[in-house]
Amino acid sequence: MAKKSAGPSIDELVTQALVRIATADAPQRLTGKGDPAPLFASAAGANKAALERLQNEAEPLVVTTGSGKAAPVRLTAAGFALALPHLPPESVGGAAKALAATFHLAERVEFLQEIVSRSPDSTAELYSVQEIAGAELQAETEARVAKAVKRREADDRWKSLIELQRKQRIDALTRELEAEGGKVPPPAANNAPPERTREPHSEPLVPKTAADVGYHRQVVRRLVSSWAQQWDHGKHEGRQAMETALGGMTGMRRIGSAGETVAFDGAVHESGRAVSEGERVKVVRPGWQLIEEEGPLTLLKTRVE
Amino acid sequence: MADRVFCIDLGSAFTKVGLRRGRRANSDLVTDSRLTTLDDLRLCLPTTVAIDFSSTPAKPIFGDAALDRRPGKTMRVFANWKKELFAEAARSEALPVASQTAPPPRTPSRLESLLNSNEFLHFATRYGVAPTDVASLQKLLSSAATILAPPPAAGSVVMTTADSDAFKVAVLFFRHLRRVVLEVCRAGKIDIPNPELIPARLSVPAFAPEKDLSSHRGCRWLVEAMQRAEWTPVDHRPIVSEPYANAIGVLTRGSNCTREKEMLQNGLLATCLSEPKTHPEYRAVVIDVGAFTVDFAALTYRPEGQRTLNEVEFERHELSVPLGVSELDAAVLGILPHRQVAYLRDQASANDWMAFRPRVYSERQFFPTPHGEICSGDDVKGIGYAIQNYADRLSEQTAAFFSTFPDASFKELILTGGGNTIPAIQDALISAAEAGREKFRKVHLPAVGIAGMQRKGTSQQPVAVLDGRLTRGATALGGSGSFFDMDREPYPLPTA
Repeated sequence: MAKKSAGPSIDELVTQALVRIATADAPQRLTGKGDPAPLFASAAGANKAALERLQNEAEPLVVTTGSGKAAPVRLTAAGFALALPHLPPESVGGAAKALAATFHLAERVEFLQEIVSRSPDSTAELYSVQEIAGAELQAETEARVAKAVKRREADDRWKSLIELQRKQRIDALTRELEAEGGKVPPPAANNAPPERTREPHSEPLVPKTAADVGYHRQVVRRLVSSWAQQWDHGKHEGRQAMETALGGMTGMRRIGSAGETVAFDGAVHESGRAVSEGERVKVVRPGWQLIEEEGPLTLLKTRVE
Repeated sequence: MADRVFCIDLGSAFTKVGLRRGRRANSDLVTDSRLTTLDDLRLCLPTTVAIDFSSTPAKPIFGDAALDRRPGKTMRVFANWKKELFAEAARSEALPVASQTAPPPRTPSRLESLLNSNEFLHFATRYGVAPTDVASLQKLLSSAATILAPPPAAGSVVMTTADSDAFKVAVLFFRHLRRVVLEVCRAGKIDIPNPELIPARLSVPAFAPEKDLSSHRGCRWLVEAMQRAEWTPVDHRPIVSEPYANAIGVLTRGSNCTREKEMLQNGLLATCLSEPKTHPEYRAVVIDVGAFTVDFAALTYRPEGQRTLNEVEFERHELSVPLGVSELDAAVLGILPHRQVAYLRDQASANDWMAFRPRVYSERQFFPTPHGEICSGDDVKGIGYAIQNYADRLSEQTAAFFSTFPDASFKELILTGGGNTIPAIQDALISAAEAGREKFRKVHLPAVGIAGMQRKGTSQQPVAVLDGRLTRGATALGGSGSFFDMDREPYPLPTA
């Protein structure tokens, strides 16, 4: 008797569902009855595991856009990224465009950048969307900055007013006391309440909990990996943008500058040839370290020759 | 019983050190940037040693600086000297070989070299032959060659420690390790007086039954190298097997309390000890998928009457097989385009590999290289095949190991080692271990991938997620635990 062939794996079920959502013209439902047919006929067996994976709380691949069991779903950025290698190239742009519209501005810009870097054929189709999103993001940022400036000016005026009123009150009381024949006591230096110092706003935010530290490391590792890719491909603009982002991350330190001559230190340098410690070498690609409380964490060694 | 103990878990790729500061103090791992700056936990000192011969005397290079070194006319890199040392020690004397001992490496025939070459794999791919079929062919030929090979000429070339480069490297490495560990202890982070007086225990692969390890030639060489580097071996049990120490590390989490309930974290073994009539047998199995080897250990305990932890001695079945994650790396390299292979082999740093494995094997996400992304196009399927094929090979070994316990039921399954952060490997090992028998009552697993995703358990089978410290450091933690001291039978080093 012929052996019954095994059904699709959970990964395959998940991928099939993601691709269907990405390429469908109408909203799709995970389960339930009615038209159009749901993505999964039932929520039992392998489908159950696939549904759990799709709606995993830690990293959902889809989110519902309504309420009830039969609510339609849309992809998350993570879901789209997973479906991307399986999508026909001609449908990537359209699908990404539609999905991008459901994201907030900053998320939209990041999502589109990711899609274009992974699927260069979609650049033309996504250019205008990215342009608009970039402009909107810029405008939003500028509006926020203007609002902050306005608020700070109002704060300053308020402080000046309070100070002026305080001085006027002291003057009035002093005059009243002198009129009564009293003497104004000298200011008691030691009794004055200590001036409260405030942490400067420029103090970097340091991740404190183990989860924060882990997340911070994960983010910087991925950024450094993408930076190295931009460097290796000679994409200067992308590289500079990532350097700006990396420079703004707490604790990031760049090791070396391209063209600089340094003494070889195997702990932070790597070379394609046998090099002795201390030998003079030229930096061809800088490296990155994350400075933490326990010491440096080398994320990328500096490449030298 | 020594009050304070270091345990050196000498891995082929990375070495970890555990420390017990006092008789009943909990064990901890020695972590510091002086050991490494490449690993988040600053725990894994690279075991690789490079020797620079460009000056006289030659200069040894250790730690992060020894990784990513290219060999050359004046540079020799010992990337897996532990394996070389064991092979050379085996040649030093015709020793009776225990049944579990992995045979010394055999030189592959030309036909095997052809079948294992990248060129052959490319050729097979071009003709549409699935990587699993190629792997089966490789395995078939390898098995045939092993059967037909003449028996090894034991003792034909007698080695001594003076002849062995690997032994000399071992002495240098242990000296460096001691210097760094003592520096960390003195720097105030650990804050322990006179660390130089603390004796050390060494964990080794399960070459032989526990009591015979101290007379195993390779282990003797390692202990001699340690002594030359001024480490003092612990009197009581100077050597423990890695799987055993690993299991104790996971079950106790480094606790050295006097009460077993606290020491065993109220686990199933603690229940078994306190209610021997209701639970007449406890059995746990540990599978550690490391860089070069996979270690299996089954621990069985049958309480006959009420016992204290001091009296607990497990029956042990251990096995080490040379099927580490480096095998998966080789299979994946076999299906990638030539330029990406050249990049990963010759240019990618240890850091790149540390990022590559979780990203591609665990998360199945693309990995960027200067020659295009890996795991983002046509290669996705091939990488999937390679992972599945490797998982199948691990399953076979797991099934073979479990076949020695046909009717036994197991309480706990403990998966450790870097290889076990791959979901497909976890699935395969759990399925193979549970095939045809009762499900495990509890499973201990590492988190998956860079993001540290955690597997969900069920009420019937709860999952204990092991953090990075336990996934990588359980052997050092367990080896430094008071469990191996107490009032157990001593297995001291044989007198000269």
